[in-house]
Amino acid sequence: MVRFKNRFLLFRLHYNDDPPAGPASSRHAALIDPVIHGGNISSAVKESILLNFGDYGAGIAATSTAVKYFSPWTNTGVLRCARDHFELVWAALTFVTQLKGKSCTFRVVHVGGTIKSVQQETLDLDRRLLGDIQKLGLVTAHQSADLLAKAREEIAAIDV
Amino acid sequence: MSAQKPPPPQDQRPSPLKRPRSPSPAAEASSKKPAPSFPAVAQAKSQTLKFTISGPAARFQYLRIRITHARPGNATALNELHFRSAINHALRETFGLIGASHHVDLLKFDAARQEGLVRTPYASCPTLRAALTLMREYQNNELRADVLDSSPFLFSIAHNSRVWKPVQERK
Repeated sequence: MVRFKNRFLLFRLHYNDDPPAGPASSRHAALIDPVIHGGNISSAVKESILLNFGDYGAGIAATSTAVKYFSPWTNTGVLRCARDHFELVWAALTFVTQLKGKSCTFRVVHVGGTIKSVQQETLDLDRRLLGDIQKLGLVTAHQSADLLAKAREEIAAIDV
Repeated sequence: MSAQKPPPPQDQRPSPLKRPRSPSPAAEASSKKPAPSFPAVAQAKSQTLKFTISGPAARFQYLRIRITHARPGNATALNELHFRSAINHALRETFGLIGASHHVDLLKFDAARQEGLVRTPYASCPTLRAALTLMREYQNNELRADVLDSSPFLFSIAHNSRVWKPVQERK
């Protein structure tokens, strides 16, 4: 039985536009866009694969590439791709410079071969970033707890 | 009627085991006769000789490429610039921007035959050939690219023994 081997890339999305002048909370609020979801990022990555690696890249990598989790509050997400071409997908993700008209940069912070390892890393990262947002006063403690519970549920639901 | 000698009685006939037989090879080998001497050449065992020619790694691969149009004519014929652009288009379609960044130099171009002599780094040759094989159109004109010759040595592309004829035969 041939097993399909995957790689899970935990990435962070950074917006490059200069945030508006003001207190840190308003600057941070400008960088949160709840409208963005995993589908936007998935289609951006596939377009990037097609542009940078052509029909060959799209044939070998695009079909096995999918965004398994994305949180617009912490701008972190998990991208699943096939093991053999994960570096190609990583490069294509790095080449994505615009998302919904906004200039952005993707940074991969963890690469894992199993769902469990990436789930743990994602949960730790989200917990830390939600704590930062709460300290800035963008969300209340109650909202932060709700977001954390929702994130925990979505991360646990990550499947191959 | 001649009188035939009656066969000897059964118990007096020689046993079949003792009847003289033709000499066997085993018997000959053990008969202590000297082995026939063959000439020295025929006695040598066949050997496989292997030669390895090695030299510095090839830097470039030279390819002679011909483009054939579905509708040949002046309207579809390519000039030097478009020939090079068609190769770039082929690389970009199949391998994207990364593929199009492979170095390809057009050294010579024959507009009448639509043939070009192209140079590319040795490691880029498989990518270039795959892209040329998959190329099927350029600027909405159907065409195909054939690689007529490919060699890391430019001199070997200069002449082809299947095509070239000595001066005497040409006359």
